[in-house]
Amino acid sequence: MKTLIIIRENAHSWLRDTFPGQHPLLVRICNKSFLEFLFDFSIIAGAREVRIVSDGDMAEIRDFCHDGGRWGLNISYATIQKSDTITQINNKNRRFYAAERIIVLDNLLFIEFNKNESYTEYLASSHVGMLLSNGQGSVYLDGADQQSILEQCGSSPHISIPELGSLPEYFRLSAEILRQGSRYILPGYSNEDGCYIGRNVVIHKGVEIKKPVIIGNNVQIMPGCVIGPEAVIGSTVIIDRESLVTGSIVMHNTFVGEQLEVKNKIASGNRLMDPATGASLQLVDAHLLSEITSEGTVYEGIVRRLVHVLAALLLFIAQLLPYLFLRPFVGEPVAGGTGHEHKTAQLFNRLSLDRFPQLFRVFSGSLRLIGSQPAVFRYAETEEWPENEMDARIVEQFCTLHSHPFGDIPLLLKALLNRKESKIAAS
Amino acid sequence: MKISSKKLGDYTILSLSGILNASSAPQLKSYLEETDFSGSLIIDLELVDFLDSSGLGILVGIARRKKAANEILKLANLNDRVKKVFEITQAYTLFDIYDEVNAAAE
Amino acid sequence: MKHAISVTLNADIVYTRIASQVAGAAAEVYANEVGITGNIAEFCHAFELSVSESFTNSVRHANHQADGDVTINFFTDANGLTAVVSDTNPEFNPVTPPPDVTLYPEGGYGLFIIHKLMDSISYSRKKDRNILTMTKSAHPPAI
Repeated sequence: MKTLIIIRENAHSWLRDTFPGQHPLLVRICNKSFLEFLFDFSIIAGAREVRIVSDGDMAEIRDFCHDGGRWGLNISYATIQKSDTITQINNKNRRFYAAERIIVLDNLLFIEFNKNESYTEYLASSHVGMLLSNGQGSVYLDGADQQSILEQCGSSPHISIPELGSLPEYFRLSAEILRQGSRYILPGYSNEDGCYIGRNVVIHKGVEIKKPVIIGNNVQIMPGCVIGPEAVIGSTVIIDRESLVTGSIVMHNTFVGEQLEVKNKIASGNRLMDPATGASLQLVDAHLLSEITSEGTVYEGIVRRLVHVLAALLLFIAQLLPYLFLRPFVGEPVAGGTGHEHKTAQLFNRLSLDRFPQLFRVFSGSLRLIGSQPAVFRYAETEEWPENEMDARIVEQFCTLHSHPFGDIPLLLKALLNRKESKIAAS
Repeated sequence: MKISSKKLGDYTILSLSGILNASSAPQLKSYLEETDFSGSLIIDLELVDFLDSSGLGILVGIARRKKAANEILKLANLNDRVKKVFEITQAYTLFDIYDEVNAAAE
Repeated sequence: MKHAISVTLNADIVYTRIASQVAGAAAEVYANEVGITGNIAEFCHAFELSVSESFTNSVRHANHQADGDVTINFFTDANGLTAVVSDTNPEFNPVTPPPDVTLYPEGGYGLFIIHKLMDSISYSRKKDRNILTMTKSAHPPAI
């Protein structure tokens, strides 16, 4: 048994509009892409060989799947024309078809199935032809008809394809997958039913988690929050103190501000969408990608300036001798310190001596010692996990909102100690 | 590069083999000029290990002439490296691509 | 900047395959020695193809200069593997519009392909030579 996935370029355009910048099949539902759920189905059906064909650009899909080794699959690719029918696609992929039974997933986003049931026999013994269709996409059985097993044994396993053509339907399906979590293979660690938690998740004191929930990787939930029931929190998310997220989806790379109530909504970046009404609200303040406004009072500004200059002075005294001693052994400093340099250069960066010349700009008042970009040290460098600019901006957003002149000192120490791990380039 | 052609049913099969780049392109070009390829054509690329834009340009030229003459052109047996060139240039939109010659000739 | 490999070829189209095979081999050694994220065969093919395109362009624009040559250098740094193709031709404009395939163009894909395959590409002119520098990261950032 093999699986052929047909991707038609013009399908699922509502997903492109709602979650722009991503291939529709790579959009996540319950923290896993649609495509990965299709792979799960293929694996459960016993089909480890998958071919993905498309009439459009497959670069994104290829970059995500490669040869499928990550899932234990063997994935190949082929191109088709827009007008190709299933018969023509069969002809074009004859070598792949060989004499096997092929499950054709045509223009599909999602199949409802149950991982505890057996599909192999059912799919192998059904006749060639349309198995399921919802007008948009279909499951079609192709290839050889298995003559030997014409009589079906037992009842057929659960399989259906949901209507999925709008945001409310996406929202409904997400809640359904979450409720029936045991049917699917959901990402994250789960020690009890209905609770899936990813890597590097920090849940602070006084947070209430109500099942069912899914939480992605690199998530911080600040004190006093209530998460769930029925909450899906994506990866790289911070939920600030005393906020409530229930019956909602927080997409990846989102920062949920303080004391917010997110009920039956989808939060994505700085947008808050209401699936019931279709309304979409652009948040200016509390969410990611907003203008960073909180500069505080004039008094706070003076205190901060003073604290930064004093701290920079201390750092200057501490770094002066090591800098003068080590500088001659280091070539042109490489921004960010990528870890590929010579040992001395590594030590140089580890001690943050590469930032030494910038201290003068703190004295002159043109640069902050620590803060959001531009600064000698970035708030993003206080955390170990940011891997790209998006991650970094979330941390900076958070730190800026909570910044306090004296609070910058512990953050500076954190950044200094963290230098070996830091992957973010300095300003 | 090696070039050969044969008949299979209503189709002419043009089989290419080797490297299809700027230095072998002229050879293919003159072969195409000397031989009559009117009618339905399948180009079998099974033995082409490497193709760059010079090779692609010739294939696109054939596709244009076939389209103008309202004749059928199919490509067959592209390896992953060759497929990649069609994908990044979007040239795949101009060709019907099969993974086997016999299926293409049906 | 240390040149790990340097090859100079006559600006003659018959050497296209040599240029691209050297590139493929350099990429293979790099990928195996340093280790890369992703598929090694694809990484090598990207260099093989990009250098093939670049060498072909260099020879095409050489206008039969008798003593024209094309030099290809490879070096590595923290960013990844870099190939530098330089020739003695007149200055050219490295900014070309992407080909519109619906018009069935027979050429003009070269630089477009290099842009698609490499993570960064830059053009400069030094000492009467065109210098095309292309780098592919060993560890491209995850999507």
